[in-house]
Parts: sequence; C-alpha cells; structure tokens
Amino acid sequence: MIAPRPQKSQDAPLKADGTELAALRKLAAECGGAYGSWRPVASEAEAVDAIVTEVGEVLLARRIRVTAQDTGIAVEMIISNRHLVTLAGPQGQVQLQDAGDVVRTLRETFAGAGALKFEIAERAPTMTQTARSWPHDALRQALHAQDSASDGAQASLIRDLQAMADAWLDLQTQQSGGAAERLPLLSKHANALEEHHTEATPLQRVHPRLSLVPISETFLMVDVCLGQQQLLLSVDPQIRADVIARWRAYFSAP
Amino acid sequence: MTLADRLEMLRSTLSNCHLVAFGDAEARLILKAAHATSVPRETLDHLCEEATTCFATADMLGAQGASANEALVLTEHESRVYLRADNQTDFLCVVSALSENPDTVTAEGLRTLQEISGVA
Repeated sequence: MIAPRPQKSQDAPLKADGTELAALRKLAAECGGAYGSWRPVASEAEAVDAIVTEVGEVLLARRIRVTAQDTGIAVEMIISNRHLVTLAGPQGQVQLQDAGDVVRTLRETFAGAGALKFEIAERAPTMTQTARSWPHDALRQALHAQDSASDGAQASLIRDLQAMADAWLDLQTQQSGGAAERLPLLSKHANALEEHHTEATPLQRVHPRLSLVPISETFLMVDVCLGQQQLLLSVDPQIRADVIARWRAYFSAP
Repeated sequence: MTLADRLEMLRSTLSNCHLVAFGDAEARLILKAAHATSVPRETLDHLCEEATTCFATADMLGAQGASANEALVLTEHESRVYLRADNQTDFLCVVSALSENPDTVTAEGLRTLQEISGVA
C-alpha cells in the first residue's frame, strides 16, 4: 500500500533560506533560462542568486562561463556535484576564503550586469588539485545572510528618507505620515502611477530608483522604488542634497 | 554646429557622462543621442518614458518656476538629469555616474538645450 502523500499547507511560509523562492523564480522565468541566452537581472543580488542556483543544478563536472551583458565582464566557474570548485575572472583564478567571500566577489563582479548569459565552456574539465570547494547550500546561506543585512540597510534608508520628508505615503502598506495638507498631492500622484502602472509580473523586481521632481519652492516630489517597496515623499527642496547624499551612501556601502 | 555635435560636446564636457540624448516629449521619441558605447534602442525608449513620466508628474501637480522643467532620477549606479525646454516639447536627458554633481549637469545641460531649441 502506498502511503498517502503529506499535504503541504497552501499557507506554509517559504523557507527562510530562500531555496523555494529561488526555485519559484526559476519556474516563473520565461524561456530565457537556457544556456546561451540572456537572462535579465534587476540587481547584483539577483545576479548572484542566478549563479548560485546554477551551482546547485550542475552535477557532472562542467566549466561554466557567465557573462554580464552591460559590462561585458565574464567569469568561468568549475562546478561539480553541486559544488563550486574554482572561480576565474579576467585576471585568472580568484583566491577565496569562504562562501561569504565567494558571494561578495560575485556581487562586485556583476554590479550593473543588466543581464547574464550562462554557457558551458567545457564538459569534463580538468579538476585542479584543491582541498576546498563551496557547496551550493553554503553559498545559498551566505547569500541569504548578506540579503538579510541588505534588508536591514534598506529599512534604515527608508526610515531616514521618511524622517527627512514633510509627508510620506507608502504605496505597499498604504500607510502615511507627516503634514496632512501634503497627503492629497501624494495620493493624487499615487493614483496617476497606478493608472500608468506597466510593470509586469509579480515576481519581477523593479530596479532601485529615486526620482526627484521639483513642484514649488517648498515642495519636492520624491518617488522611491526599492525592492518591492515604493514610497512617495514630500520634501523641502532645501534638503535635496541630503536626500541625494543618503541615496548615494546606501549604494556605496560595502 | 549640428545637433549631434552639440550633444557630443556636452557629453565630453561632463567628466562622468555616459550618454546625452535629445528628444521630443510630445512624440515620446529620442531623436538623437551621443554615447561612448553602443546603447540599445530599448534603453533610449526607457529614458524617453522616464522623462515624460517626470514631466507629467510636474504638470499634474502644478509645478511652477524655473525648476518646473527639471527632474532628477538616481539609480544604483547612474544619475539621470531630464531638462525640458520652455516650448514643453524638446527635452534633454543626461546620464552620468551616480557620483556626478547634478547641479553641474543641469547648468551645462540647460545651456546646450537653449542652444538646440534656439536653433530648432
């Protein structure tokens, strides 16, 4: 007799390490996932996520080349049995300490990539003599740990921008705060954005963006898109430079 | 001096400038662009869309004064300055490194836009 398959609750949360989310993203991706085709990526984190997913899917030894579309940078990885064995950039093999180091290096390498192309550069490559390799699970955990730190930095940026604003409106939570007389203008802009909304699928990430549109001598409309969050702010034009500096600081942080 | 020459001159004047584009906000079209490396048409279309969205926001909220025709968009790596001419149709888009001073870009861009719109 075959035991009944345990039912998974539809409300069960996704695994905290992002494994299921990565699988869902891959499933939801269009046919662009094949070797040799360009896969759009919205951020360094998404680029690294795609590379880590690739490591988790290669069992037989392969040399995989990953090319960034916008920067033209390419790296080659030897992957075997869901382990990253070597990583080589334009200047040769990269010396790496731990999985966190691998993830950081990949993030820096694929900053501003736009899209990635995966190609099999060699089947059954010669494996170098090394005692060190990085399993997929360790890379996934390192990526998740760095994403969590990044989420904290993102929340801090949002809090700082809200503190700088005369009034703010969070389009995700519909929460608002600040000067009541500004809120109708923010809502008016929010309604216009909703009418024009053309961003595609729910799984597609929006590129980080901060728009500053001067309206009057006392009102600078600021529209922030970060991750899945979008925030409208009414800011005094006198502190425009502070808003810009805070945005730059967020993206220049290590 | 041709339109292309003026755009290229502005691009070379600004130290960290990747792209300068001149467009028509009504037609929603980039008419000419100067850039060092090749830029896909989709990127130019996106810049045009972003410019018209910024100016539409300013118009909808009743923007006033000289800065009503200016907008700034910052991304992870880039700073994009959008400048609209007084005729409300011609616009200039200047894409630079995130570190570039937007006030410098705006001042230089306005000068070029006035020359171009004056010629046009």
